[in-house]
Amino acid sequence: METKRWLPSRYNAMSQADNGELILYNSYSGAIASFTVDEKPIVMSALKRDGVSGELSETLQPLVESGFLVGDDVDEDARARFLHQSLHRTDTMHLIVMPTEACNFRCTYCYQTFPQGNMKPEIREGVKQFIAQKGNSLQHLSISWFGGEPMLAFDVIGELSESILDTVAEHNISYSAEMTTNGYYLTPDKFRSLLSWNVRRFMITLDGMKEFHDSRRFLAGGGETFDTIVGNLKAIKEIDEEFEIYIRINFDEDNLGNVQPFLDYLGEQFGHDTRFQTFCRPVGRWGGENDEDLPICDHRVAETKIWEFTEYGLDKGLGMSSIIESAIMPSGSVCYAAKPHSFVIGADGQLYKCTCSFNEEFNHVGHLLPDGTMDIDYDKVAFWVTGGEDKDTGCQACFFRPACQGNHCPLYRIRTGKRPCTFEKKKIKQVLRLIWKQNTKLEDLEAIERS
Amino acid sequence: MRVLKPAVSPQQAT
Repeated sequence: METKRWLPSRYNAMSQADNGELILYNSYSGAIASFTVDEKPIVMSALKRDGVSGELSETLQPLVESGFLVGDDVDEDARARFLHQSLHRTDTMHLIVMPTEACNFRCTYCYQTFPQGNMKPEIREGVKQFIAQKGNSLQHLSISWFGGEPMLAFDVIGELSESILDTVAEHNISYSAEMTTNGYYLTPDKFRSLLSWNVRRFMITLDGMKEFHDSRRFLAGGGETFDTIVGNLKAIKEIDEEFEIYIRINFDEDNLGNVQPFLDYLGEQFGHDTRFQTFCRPVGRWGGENDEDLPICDHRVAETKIWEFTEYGLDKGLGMSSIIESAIMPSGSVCYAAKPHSFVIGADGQLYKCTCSFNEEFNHVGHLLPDGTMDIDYDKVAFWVTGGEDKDTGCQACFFRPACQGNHCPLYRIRTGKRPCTFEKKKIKQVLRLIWKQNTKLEDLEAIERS
Repeated sequence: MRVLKPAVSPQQAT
């Protein structure tokens, strides 16, 4: 009988933990595991190019189950293509809804133009009807409340949520919702209402301590915002319910030196409450009127600082956003713009694929009608959905391919012709080390609580 | 081997 040969998966990445342990990750299976210093040489030997033959030891058998070792008859290219095709399943849907396109802030780096206010009644009816009509075929629905500033249209969110909750209850659909908000109107009372509508994840931006934040993220017409947002967050912390708040810190040359003192402050206020998590990103030239004047960081500095700040926060008791771990899972970094069953619904019923190019004609992919039907230009949808790995040999050879499928940011590829790679992929060793560190800290914390 | 994140199928992944 021919002996079986096992080869290292082409989708593996490895890193080293602070205590010398080996960390392994596979972007097709999503598995992440660590190995003791004793196990490490055995595992490293099996992961050599020629792999390993015959009966597997107790140490190596789990590597097959986790996808780190694959049979020499496995077509890993086909696996990636199949994973990509699985995004076409019709029982999941992700809608990004803009209950208003107005905003009470005028952030220096914002790319939006705030063309209109609250979603019109006939479009609200269209959203309700569209989701109700989809009810029979859906197993999973997720809604992202976006804008503008969605909390300016709190009543619209309530009206739509009540209808959506009826539909998902009637059809037994798993439903999750999240919100990107500036946090200014996120009072504890309204927060409780949002939780009752199943909105449980919030992205809220604070760009440093008061003087730094208020100089970049101020009210339309001027006016500070830091104290109000932080006051809301402190009040929300006292609510004994499950939720996740991602505190996003946008950094550039102006506030680079203030991020760590700010993380010290956040650690004092929210440290060791796992519901509050950090998400650090460099400011980009995202299409706003101040783009040319923004003091953005050199990309090499930015790509290093993201993880330096994330680790600094971790050392202050602030976990990193769960977005980061989910971004390295299979299909986890595919942008919604590249997913066939994802649409952005504007306040006037205009349909888009991308949230960063509202004024581009190629992003105007259709209209939502009051009766719940979508009038869609499928050629434009195809333009967003069919790019990516299948035309890019670099992506096809990449260890991260199953996670992003070459579609991390279709807009970047359209505008520059270059390959869009994620911050996580570029520093995968750092990211794996931080995931290990966060897991280890959590386990230590749980052990302390038990004893 | 200590599992930090278990393997998932393509179906679960989406």
